[in-house]
Amino acid sequence: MDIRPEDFERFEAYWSGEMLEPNRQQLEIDLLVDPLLQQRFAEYKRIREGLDQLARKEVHKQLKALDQSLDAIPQHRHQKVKSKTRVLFLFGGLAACLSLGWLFYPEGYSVDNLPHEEGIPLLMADQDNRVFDSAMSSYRSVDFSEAARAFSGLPDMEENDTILFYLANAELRSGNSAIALKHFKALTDRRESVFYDKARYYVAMAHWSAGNDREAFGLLRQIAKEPKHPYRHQAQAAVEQME
Amino acid sequence: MNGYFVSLSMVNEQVYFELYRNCRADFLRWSTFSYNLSSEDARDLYQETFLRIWDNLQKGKLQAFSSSGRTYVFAVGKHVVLDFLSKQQRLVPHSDLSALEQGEDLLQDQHNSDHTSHVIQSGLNQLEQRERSLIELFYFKRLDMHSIAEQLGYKNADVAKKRKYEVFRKLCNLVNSRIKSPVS
Repeated sequence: MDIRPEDFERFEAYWSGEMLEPNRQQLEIDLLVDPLLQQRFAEYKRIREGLDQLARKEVHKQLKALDQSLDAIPQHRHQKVKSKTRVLFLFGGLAACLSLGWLFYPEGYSVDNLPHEEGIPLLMADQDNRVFDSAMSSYRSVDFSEAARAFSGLPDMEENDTILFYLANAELRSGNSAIALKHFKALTDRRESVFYDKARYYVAMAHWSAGNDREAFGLLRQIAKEPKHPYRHQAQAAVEQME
Repeated sequence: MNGYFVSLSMVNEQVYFELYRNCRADFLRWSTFSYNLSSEDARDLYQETFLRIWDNLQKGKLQAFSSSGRTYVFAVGKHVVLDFLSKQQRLVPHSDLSALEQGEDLLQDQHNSDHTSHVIQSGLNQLEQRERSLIELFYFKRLDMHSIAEQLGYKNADVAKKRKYEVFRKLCNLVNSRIKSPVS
C-alpha cells in the first residue's frame, strides 16, 4: 500500500494535533467511507507509532542518565553517612551522641541542595570564545565532567572570575569537592568579584560535600544571617536540614 | 503546518531537560511527603511525568512551554502519582477472569508494539545516513523543516519536506518487507 503525498501531509497534520477542527472532522469522515484511505492511514499509523515509541525510549534513556548524574553525589555521600552511623552505634554509642559536636552532626548533603546556576547564554559568542563556548555549552547541558575538563583547559582560567566560578561549579556538581573547594576559596579572596558572595556559599557546600560538616555548618549559619546574601534562604534551609 | 513545528521546535531539548533538572528536587520532596511514596517510586514517577509531557508535545496537546512551566509539570505529575496509587490500591479478585484477560491483552499489545519498534529500528538502520538523520531530526529531535534543511544541506524547507515523504515511504517498504502480517 503506497501512501500518496497529499494523504501523507494530512496524516502528519492529524497525528501531530495541528489540524484545524473542520479538516480533522473531514478526514475522519473520509476514513469512515474510504477503505483505501483507511489502509493507508493504518500503514502510516503503524510506522508513526513505532517512531514515536523509539523517540520516547530515547528520551527515557536520557532522563535516566540525567537522574544518574544528579544522584551521583548524594549516593556516594549517603553511603558514607550510613557507614559513619554504624560506627557510631557500634563503638561510640551514647557518649558520642552526648558530645556537642555530634549533636550538630549534619546529614543529607545532596546535589539538590545546590542552587541552579544557569550559566551564560552563548548568543554573543565570537570566534575567540569558541573553547569557552564549548565548555559553557557542556555546563548548560548538565555535562559537568566535560565542562570541568574544558574550563580547566582555558589559558586565563585562574584570573578570570567567570571561568573560575563555573569551573568550580562543574567540579562540585561532578563530585570533585576538593578541587571545587580550592577554586571557590580562590574566589573568596577577591572581594570585588561579582561571584564573591556566591562563592562563600559554595565553599560551605563543597565542605559539606567533602564531609567537612562542621566547617560547612558554621559558614552556612553565618550566611543565613546575612540579609543581603543571595543564597541566605538556601543557607538557612541547609542549616535546618543539618540540625 | 510549518507554524506549528516552528513553535514546537522552540521546545528544544535544552529547555525540556533543564525543566526536568530544575523541578526534580521539589517534585521528589513533594511526592514523597504528600503521598508517602518511596524515593524510588518518586523518581520513577517523575520520569513518567516527563514522558507524559513528551507525549503531549508529540500529540500537539501542548504547543509550547518555557522553563517556567513548573505548574504544568506538577499538574501532570499529580495525575501520574494518583494513577500510580489507584493502580496499587486496585484489588483484582481471582474470580474476575475478564480482568485477567484484559491483562493478557495488554501484554500482547505491549509485545506487538515492542516488535514493531524493533522492526522500525532495523528499517532505520538500513536507511542511508542522511535519510536516517532526516527522520531522526524530525520525529525524534522535533526540529522544523527549515532547521533540518539547513542542517542537512537541502536547498530549502520544501525540498526537505518532500524528501521526508520519500524517506518515510522507503521506511514503510523496509518495514513491510520484514512484517509478514497484514496491516490491520
